[in-house]
Amino acid sequence: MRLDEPVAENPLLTVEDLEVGFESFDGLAEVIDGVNLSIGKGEVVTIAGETGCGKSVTMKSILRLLNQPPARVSGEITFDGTELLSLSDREFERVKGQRMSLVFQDPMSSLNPTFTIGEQLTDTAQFGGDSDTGVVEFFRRRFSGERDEARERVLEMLREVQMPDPENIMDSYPSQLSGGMRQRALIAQALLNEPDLLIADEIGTALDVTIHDQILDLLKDLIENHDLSVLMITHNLGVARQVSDRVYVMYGGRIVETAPTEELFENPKHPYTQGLIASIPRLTGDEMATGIDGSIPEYLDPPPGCRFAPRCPYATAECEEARPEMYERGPQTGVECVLYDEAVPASERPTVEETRSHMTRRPGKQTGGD
Amino acid sequence: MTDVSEPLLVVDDLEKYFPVKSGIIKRTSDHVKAVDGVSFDIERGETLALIGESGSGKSTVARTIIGLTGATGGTVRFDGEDITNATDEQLARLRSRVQMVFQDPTSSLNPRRTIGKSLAVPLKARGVPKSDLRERVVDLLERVELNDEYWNKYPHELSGGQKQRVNIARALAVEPELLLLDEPTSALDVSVQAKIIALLEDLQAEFGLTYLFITHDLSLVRNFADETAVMYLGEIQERGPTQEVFQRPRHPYSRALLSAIPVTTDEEEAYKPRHEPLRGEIPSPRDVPTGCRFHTRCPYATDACSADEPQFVAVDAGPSVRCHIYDEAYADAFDDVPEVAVAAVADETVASNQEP
Ligand SMILES: Nc1ncnc2c1ncn2[C@@H]1O[C@H](COP(=O)(O)OP(=O)(O)OP(=O)(O)O)[C@@H](O)[C@H]1O
Ligand SMILES: Nc1ncnc2c1ncn2[C@@H]1O[C@H](COP(=O)(O)OP(=O)(O)O)[C@@H](O)[C@H]1O
Ligand code: SF4
Ligand code: SF4
Ligand SMILES: [Mg+2]
Ligand SMILES: [Mg+2]
Repeated sequence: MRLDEPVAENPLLTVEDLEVGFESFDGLAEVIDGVNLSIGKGEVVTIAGETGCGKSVTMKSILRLLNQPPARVSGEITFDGTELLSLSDREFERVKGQRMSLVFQDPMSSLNPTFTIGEQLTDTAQFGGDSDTGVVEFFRRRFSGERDEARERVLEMLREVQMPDPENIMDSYPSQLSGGMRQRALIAQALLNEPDLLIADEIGTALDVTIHDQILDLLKDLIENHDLSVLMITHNLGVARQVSDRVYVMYGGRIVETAPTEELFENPKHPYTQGLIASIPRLTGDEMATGIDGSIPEYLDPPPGCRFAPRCPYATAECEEARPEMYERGPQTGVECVLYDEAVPASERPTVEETRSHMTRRPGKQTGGD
Repeated sequence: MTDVSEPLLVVDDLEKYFPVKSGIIKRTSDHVKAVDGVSFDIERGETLALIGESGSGKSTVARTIIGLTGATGGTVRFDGEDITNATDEQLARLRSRVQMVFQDPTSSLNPRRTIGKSLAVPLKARGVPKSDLRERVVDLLERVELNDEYWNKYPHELSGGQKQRVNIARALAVEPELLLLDEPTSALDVSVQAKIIALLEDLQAEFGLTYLFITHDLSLVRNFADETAVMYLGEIQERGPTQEVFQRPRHPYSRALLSAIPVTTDEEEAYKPRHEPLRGEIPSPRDVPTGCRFHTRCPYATDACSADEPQFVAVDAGPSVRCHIYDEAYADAFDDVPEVAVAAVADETVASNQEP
């Protein structure tokens, strides 16, 4: 099934009809089901959604980080005119090494504990974009003046990410750094090869709120100074609102809504987006929704129509039959929900407040739905 | 029930120093001051939220109250009885009146036991006869809105939110009066978190429970807690009615915490104090800064802040704050007294909170 997605102008990366399944003893888990998305040059785009909705699998398919099998990946991923899925591993690594960088969710596991920060980052600076250097070339570069130059570059980058005491940090091991410092080191590493596209998975969300805040501020500056296009992944809608130009909301392995950031938060349309926004505790002291009943779909046997139907307060028989279309609702704005069909009068479309009221005090007690 | 007027829990100047041993003979060379003079009390049926970033000592406060670790100073009184460093006999009695729920819903359940068996353990310990066990477990499950199908399930078959419900049910098995909730929703998604909070509210209304609710997420307690205490490096920096702490956060650290919350509406944005990212990171509790322990990160710090320790004093009969800005004696120390010092905001409107 191909869905029309409101595409970015002048896209750097487009993902079309991405499908990812995982083979297992119990059958094929159809996790990603026809995802379309795009990132324009210089654009900051977020994929937002709760645990298990498929954000990381989407990111990993773009960066070829899934083992196939058990994963089965299909669709089209185009980066600056080049179709990525059909490239050989070697060709892909070259494109990736030179033009894309990833900052991971877990700063501890992505740094090697046995080398100093200086050694690791200097290696990235020297070999980052070029992983298949011969042995001779490797030793030539590693023990020549080029090494010193690379070290200088790393130091400069550490200063740019506002690492405290960068000279000392160069000689420290990852375990000697705080979580915030490790996150800075990883950001520095990601920028060393001057990428065009930065992919950031839950950056800083494991950190304390004041440190997370510093990291987001830093990231905003770096995006500006380095002219980066960014794909951010987060479960925190507030973060999406703070940093991105455009947001994709993901649910059950599908994009259910997309819009420019302001539009999405001022006028959220999909019942899931609305429920999610209504569940976030509010500083204004307004009553918080009591959450969305039920849990994310079982990917081995997903609901046949709209994957949100079992949890949606507005679901009808129609929703359970076929997957809804992605309806276009303005520039770069789309909603995958039957309520946004032209034929449905606007008055039947729920507001966040309505959805909130559906979720505020339980009419009867639910059983086991988290 | 010695004194009816005394709050259910009274914590006074609580201290927990962990010794740091070094050298060949493992002499105590230093201390981690995890909790360094914490005082608060909670009235029966009310909720106190204890907020703070990682390492501020929140969990240690809870663990000391319930006797999982000894206090090195101060006192804890529960229902009029001094339970500081409780005896085994006291602890045994206490366990049926005070229970704790932890952050990680998975590690607190035995993976090889069905939910039914896990919940039966505390009931058996209380002497519930075998013939009644099943019925009582089903009752407990119902209280946390799980049906009797869960009797036979194993923890790995449950989602995070469902597991946390089971943990709450287990804590309720002994019919406690006080629940110490240590970040019970931090590992959960927001839509699940909202359901657990609603459940906790219902349980409190139904059974008159008293809560100590620990979290690093300030926005979560806005409607949930009667009082809020903000902790930094082992000390409470601000404590007062939750509404006050939100509408007029006085301590620079409370302000920073509030302003760092990523929100989803402009309306909420207006509730945040001016955005001032903090410098640096939280220092080690082994090496607490002199004077005000927040001075290394405080945007308003002056020389006086690193020299003298601020006292914890009530401001305008409202919340208590530990900061020189609110002390007349230091008025001269701040040449340009930040407007944060204006505690009595006459105008209650949102606008007054926009610019500190
Ligand atoms: N058994 C122990 N031995 C030594 N130090 C300890 C011990 N337990 C805790 N600490 C230290 O005490 C300080 C406070 O820890 P605590 O776990 O109470 O913080 P917290 O506020 O609960 O943080 P978090 O948000 O990470 O749970 C930390 O610096 C911690 O490393
Ligand atoms: N390597 C894998 N093998 C099998 N299933 C996987 C694998 N990676 C992820 N999944 C499943 O795919 C779904 C989406 O996961 P993920 O993309 O990590 O979610 P999130 O949105 O939290 O990042 C989950 O149900 C997860 O269990
Ligand atoms: S398509 Fe139907 S079930 Fe799905 S979100 Fe829309 S109304 Fe709800
Ligand atoms: S006493 Fe000084 S350093 Fe401490 S919070 Fe107040 S202004 Fe900041
Ligand atoms: Mg993920
Ligand atoms: Mg803790």
